[in-house]
Amino acid sequence: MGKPTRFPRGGPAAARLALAAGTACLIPTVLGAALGLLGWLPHDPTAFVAPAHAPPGPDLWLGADALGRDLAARLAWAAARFAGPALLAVAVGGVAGVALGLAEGLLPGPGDALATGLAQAVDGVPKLVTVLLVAAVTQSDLDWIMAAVGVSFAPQVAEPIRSSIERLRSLAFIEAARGLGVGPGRVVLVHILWGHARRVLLAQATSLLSFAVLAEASLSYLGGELGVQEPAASWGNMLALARDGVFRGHWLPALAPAVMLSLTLLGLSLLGRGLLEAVEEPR
Amino acid sequence: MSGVGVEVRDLHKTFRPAGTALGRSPPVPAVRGVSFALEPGEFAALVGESGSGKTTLGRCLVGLTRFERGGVRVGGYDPARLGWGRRAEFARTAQMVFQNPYATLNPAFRVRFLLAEAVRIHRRLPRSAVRAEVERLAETVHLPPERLDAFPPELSGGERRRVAFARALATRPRFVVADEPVAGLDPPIQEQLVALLRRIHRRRGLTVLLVTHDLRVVRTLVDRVLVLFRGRLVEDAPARVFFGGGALHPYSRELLTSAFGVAEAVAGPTRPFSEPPLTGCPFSSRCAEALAEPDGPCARMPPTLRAVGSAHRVACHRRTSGSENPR
Amino acid sequence: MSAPVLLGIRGLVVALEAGRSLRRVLDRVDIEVRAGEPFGLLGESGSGKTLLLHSVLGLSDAVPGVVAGTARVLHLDLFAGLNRTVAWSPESPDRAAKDVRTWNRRLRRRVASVLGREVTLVPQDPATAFPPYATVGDLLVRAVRRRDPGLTRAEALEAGLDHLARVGMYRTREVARQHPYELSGGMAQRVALALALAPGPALLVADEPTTGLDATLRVRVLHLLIRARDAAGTTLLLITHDTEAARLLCEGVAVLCGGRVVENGPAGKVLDPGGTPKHPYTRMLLEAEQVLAGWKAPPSARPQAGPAGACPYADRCSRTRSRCRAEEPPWVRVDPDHGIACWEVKG
Repeated sequence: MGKPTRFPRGGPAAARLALAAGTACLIPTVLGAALGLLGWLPHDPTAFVAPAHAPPGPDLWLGADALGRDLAARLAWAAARFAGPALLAVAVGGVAGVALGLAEGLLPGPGDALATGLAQAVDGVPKLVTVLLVAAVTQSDLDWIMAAVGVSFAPQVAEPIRSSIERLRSLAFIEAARGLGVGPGRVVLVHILWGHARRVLLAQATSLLSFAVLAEASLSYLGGELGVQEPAASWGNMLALARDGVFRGHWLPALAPAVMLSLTLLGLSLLGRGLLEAVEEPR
Repeated sequence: MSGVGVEVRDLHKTFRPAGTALGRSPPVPAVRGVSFALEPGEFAALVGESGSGKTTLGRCLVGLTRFERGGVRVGGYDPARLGWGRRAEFARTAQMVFQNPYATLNPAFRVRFLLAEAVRIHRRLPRSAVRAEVERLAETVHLPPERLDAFPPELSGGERRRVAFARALATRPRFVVADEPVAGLDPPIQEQLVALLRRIHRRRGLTVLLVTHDLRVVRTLVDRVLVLFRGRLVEDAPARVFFGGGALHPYSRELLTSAFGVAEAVAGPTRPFSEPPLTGCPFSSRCAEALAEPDGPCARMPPTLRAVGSAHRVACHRRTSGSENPR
Repeated sequence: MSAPVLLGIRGLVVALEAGRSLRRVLDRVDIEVRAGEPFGLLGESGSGKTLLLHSVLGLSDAVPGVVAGTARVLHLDLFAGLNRTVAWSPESPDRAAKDVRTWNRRLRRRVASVLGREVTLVPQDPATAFPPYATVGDLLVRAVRRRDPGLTRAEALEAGLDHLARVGMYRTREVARQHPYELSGGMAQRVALALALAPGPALLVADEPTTGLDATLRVRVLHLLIRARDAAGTTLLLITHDTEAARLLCEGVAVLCGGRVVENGPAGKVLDPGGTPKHPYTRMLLEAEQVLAGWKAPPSARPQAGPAGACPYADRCSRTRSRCRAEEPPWVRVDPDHGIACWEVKG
């Protein structure tokens, strides 16, 4: 026999909790990026300001890295440097995805087949392979890599658009809007995309962002010709640089970027879930 | 603003279901050669059972369904020939109040937005004027102003119908097809909506075609009754005559008994569901008079609609008895 | 008055969560259906009549759902052990504790021993209420075998086809090969009725049987229900907002408003448009019927509870006085068999 539940149980708070937790996880990253963009950093992130592996202090909040640079400043600078390319990835993914989704959902026979084929072809190539290929061809130009991330995500963004158009366009309220004299563009953009797909699109954007973060960090960690090159900072190359120090007891330079990376990915994932489950979503 | 005239000539509509891998379903004729005309400002009812084609006919009149044959004129427009540009213009002439307001109101938007959109696409107005117009519409249909901020799924059945009315009226139409505007509601709510419809018709002088299966709804409302059976117009009579004992077609009488004489109607013997006849009068398999005479004219050829009095037409061999003259 | 009670509900309270509180959508409802006396449960959509049926038969997913009351179907005490799974008292009606899963499992197990046998249901939406994988024939065989488990499949099907023919279906063999969702509304209604009659039930429950049917079909279904009602050994419980149908089919009726019974008695007295005294809500329903008839309840209508400690009709009644909002009206017996809960009515 089970345990009795007490009623009333209170509102459905899970989605709101996920949104709040996700936002909280992203605070350090966003704050760091903002400070870095504004240039309000305690030290020049490329300057050698202390002995290697200097411990944290009032001047160096997180200590120095293996080359004696301010770790906190480098963390923030890495976030700031990556903000532009990340937005580029989202913009490319969003525009390409929406265009692809509209083409799949709205074009007649051959156009639809073409768009669907294109989506399947792009979806068929593993995303990391695309990223590596583009990195190799463009000599690790971060903007191109992020554009590639966006393109490789386009089919995933297109899918909810296609399905909501297909699900909704035969529905009575779309037809009712038509009977009222609402133009076809407005029907698609307002009644379908804005009304029914905006949350899914936002959620897709969060998963695109987290993939972009992970891709950049992985490439930079691998190092060599790939990813962000020293002296520019990236959480990936900071991890790589701190790798050997860990075994000599200098764990902070490795832990700090790892924590930032984990918090960012966790925050984006929670945000995505919260957006999808938010209670106001109409069915 | 006043109503416009409506003319329908020999309208045919057949649905051709899309074929599947397993084969093709046969085409389904929905409307088979219907002709009638409505005067500007006339309030007419189109009655028939479900599957009679009455909704399809109504949709053809507002240009939502294409038809193969025949002609429709609604105040100078031909709903069959409308591009997207002319459609917006036509929307200011003819509107439909849809049967199912659960499905025809986009659940993602507040009522206020849905009404404001309908106002804005037809008239360029400043924000405050749109707002005032939306509130005026809500008042016209007796929707409490605070319900404007609700989403459609939160509304009751009656409130949704009111919103559907308000939305149709937002374009200031001159001809309205109201498809089963009260079906599915509790009787007290139906009564209120019928009163509302009557008031709107009187005040604006609209031409209204009320599509319904329920004669009780229309008795106190309409000037004229059009009876549709299996896609054919079988009787067209002034309401006074129709409800005053002058309905001639056996199907019209069955409808009247079903609505107003339930106690007698349920007392008879069980009649099986009838298969539609392949030839002859479409009603012959349910018509006591036709069944009494199996090789009469009813089994051989379908009757045509003939005048039997002023503004009264009926399609029945037994009422027009083969002659051109009224009985 | 000696006929055995088929369905006896006493003091039924059903609650739903409403934000930080509980809403009593059925409040102290008493219903008694006796063998051989067809009974009608009347009310608008949202009055809670379908919820009542579903709560008693374990078909409801409402939480917390039933919190108080007793329900007997034939010999079965459906709510036995209620106070062991539920903690609720009228003194603090906004709080409850309930083991909903255990309760539902237990109630459903009890109901399963009679549902589909001694008690059958004509569901509100027959086209979608049956399992989609079964054909009409499969369902008929199952229904017939409930009464005669010894029949072979072929014999049971023959008996089932007889039932189909009895409700006015033609080409029964073809219909038996179809699925319920492939049938038109009127056909599905007839099939549902045939399925409900096939096990030879003691209690036939018809939930809004004339809902969504057009006028001519409604008359035919009413006609079939009259024949079903007159079948030996079967008693009809009609759940409807169609006052005309209730008058034609039932002997006793109870009128539900805002989750409470506001009037009960013989159909001839309660539903007589000229009869007095009468609850204002019943009068309103009857007046509306004279102008119109309604057939379909909006699918999303949620039961609306009347305000606690007041007349459930007070918000809409034209003769509401301050007393109607401040105190619950007493139950007045205007006849030994006719009760009304209204301050206007004097005993």
